[in-house]
Amino acid sequence: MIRRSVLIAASLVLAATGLAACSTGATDSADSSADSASKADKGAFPVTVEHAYGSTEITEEPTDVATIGWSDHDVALSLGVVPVAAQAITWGGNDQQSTDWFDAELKKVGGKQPVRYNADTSIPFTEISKAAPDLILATNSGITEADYKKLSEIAPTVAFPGDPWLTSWQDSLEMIGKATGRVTLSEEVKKETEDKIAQAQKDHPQIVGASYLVTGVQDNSKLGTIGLYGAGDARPQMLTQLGMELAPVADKLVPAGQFYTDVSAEKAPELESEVLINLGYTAGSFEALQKDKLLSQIPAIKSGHYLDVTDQPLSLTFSAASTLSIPYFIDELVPSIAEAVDGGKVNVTAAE
Amino acid sequence: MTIRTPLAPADPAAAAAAVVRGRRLPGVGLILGVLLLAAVASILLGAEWVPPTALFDDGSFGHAILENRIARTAIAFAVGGALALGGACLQGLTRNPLADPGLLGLNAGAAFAVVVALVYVGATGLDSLLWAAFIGAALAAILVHGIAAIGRDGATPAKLVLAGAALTAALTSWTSGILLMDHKGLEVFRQWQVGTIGSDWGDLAICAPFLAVGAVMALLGARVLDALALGDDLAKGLGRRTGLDRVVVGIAVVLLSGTATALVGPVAFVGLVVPHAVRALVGPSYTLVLPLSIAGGAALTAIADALGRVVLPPTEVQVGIMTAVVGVPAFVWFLRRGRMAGL
Repeated sequence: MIRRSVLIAASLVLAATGLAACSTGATDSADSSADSASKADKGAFPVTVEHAYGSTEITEEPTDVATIGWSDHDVALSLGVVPVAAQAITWGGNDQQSTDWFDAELKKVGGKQPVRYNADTSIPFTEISKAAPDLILATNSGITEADYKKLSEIAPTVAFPGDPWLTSWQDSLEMIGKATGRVTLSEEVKKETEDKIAQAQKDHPQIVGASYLVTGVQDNSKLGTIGLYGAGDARPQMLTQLGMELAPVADKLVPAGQFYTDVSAEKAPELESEVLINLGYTAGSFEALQKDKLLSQIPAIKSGHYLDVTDQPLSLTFSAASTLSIPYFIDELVPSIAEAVDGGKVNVTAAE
Repeated sequence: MTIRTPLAPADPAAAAAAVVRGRRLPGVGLILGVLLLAAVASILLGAEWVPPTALFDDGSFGHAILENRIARTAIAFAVGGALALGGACLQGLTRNPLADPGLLGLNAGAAFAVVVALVYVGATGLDSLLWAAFIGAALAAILVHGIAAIGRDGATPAKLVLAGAALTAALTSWTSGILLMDHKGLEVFRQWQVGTIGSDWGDLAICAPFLAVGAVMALLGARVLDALALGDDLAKGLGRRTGLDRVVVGIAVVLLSGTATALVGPVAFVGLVVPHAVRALVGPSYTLVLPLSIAGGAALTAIADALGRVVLPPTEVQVGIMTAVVGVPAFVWFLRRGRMAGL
């Protein structure tokens, strides 16, 4: 993922700071800007980044970057920028309110775990301003225009390019690459990620062209409806990039401009696809789907071509696909998807 | 609303029964007719049109759909009947026309207990959540009555409602506070909170004993409520021990609304609207209002659930939302007709 030169630079910093950077929050000696200072392109600044709420000018290389959103911290870190503060991952996160892929990369580049704030229900302006950032990244977030204006008073802020929460990893990467002056590096990271996806297609040829649906069981006790994700959602977007094809019924049932809809269980036989990927909330949802008189009539469930993912972190690898999570998605989940395409009823539950 | 007239018949139930033989009969017929219509609509309406003959086509998808809808209808009937019966009892008990389990803190108590069970006890199955909701509703009822009873004049209708509102406010914010910190609990709770009718006979079987005991206690309380309608002084004059009577009917209300809420989540308006509508049709006697409230509540809930399946295809609108959509216009219509009978 990260260029060898970055790793070397990072390990030098690590050595210089006496390994203190490894232990999170132990000391302040690992200035997060130190290990990323030299990765910017020459003459990259000033730079202007366009987004949904206008354009933001960044005059010099940011050193203290704060992030809001599902994947901004991942993308920044994949470019060697360790955020000083980032959104807490409350759904699918680990004890550090982070993810395993973020922590692994953090260890590689030798940075300090960012200050984590909960931005699920509202933007924590006070905590962000306490982190004193010189750049705020929110390219895959749901910030409102009012939020954007307030954040811009704290530091230059880069919002999402189109719709809230629906930014592709490529767009995030391009915008964050530009904003941090790492256009060259971002292109390299993009190439690496695309190569990884291409390799997955080679390793699992059966997934290419397979039609799929992504559903979410709402609750394992009352299965009157089942959630169906549409083409605009991050999950189908990732599977489509993998070469799979979203079944036409999703376009028919999910209204335009919506990325999700609840479908009556009575429509189960219409949910035609070669493979069904269900994101269950609890481990019991797998059995509940099989046992339910109506939902068991979904063609892919009936024919046994389905995958049930109740492991939240794994679900997150493609719900919030990023340059850091995609390798995890490909290594940990794609083999199960391939197995489901082949006709195995696969249940990926939480490890605990 | 309290003491109405010294000329009130000594036994209102007997008087009401006499009236039924005359002009109340059409009202009874209307309610039973609507109940029948609700059963038919709830079995026929849905995202997919299924001919009723599919019921005989064992193994077909149509058969599965109809079976599913029949189970849903049964649960809607049980829940709606319990909520309306509980609401009618509460209105009589507190002599407050706005009384319903939501107003007196029972729903908030049930919801809070469910969240505590989800988050701190790790309960996920409906059978354990049922108990939690039930205990929560009971504790809330005791607490509200206890708070209202402080002071010289005891638990007056106004104090009960104030205590209920205060407890609801406190419990609701605690519930939100816990949920903000626990997202997994939130996912499960969100679905429960809006009120969703499931189709699991097992769920109904777990609840049935509570509902049955609650219904019997409530129906036996009809004479008590009729006496209380005359005011405590007159009721005591008629030989009623009003304090004990209130406790018995109160337990019935907790059993009915706590269990119904646990089964499908908080469902508003049924407990409030149905008793008023029934009273407008058949008069104020609880001997008639209570059983007909069961029928009316069952009908309203089943119709609301059935309509929820067809208003926004391909999705289904939860019954908790639909009862408000269907119930509020009905309530306004009754108010405008000026036929809101006294308690």
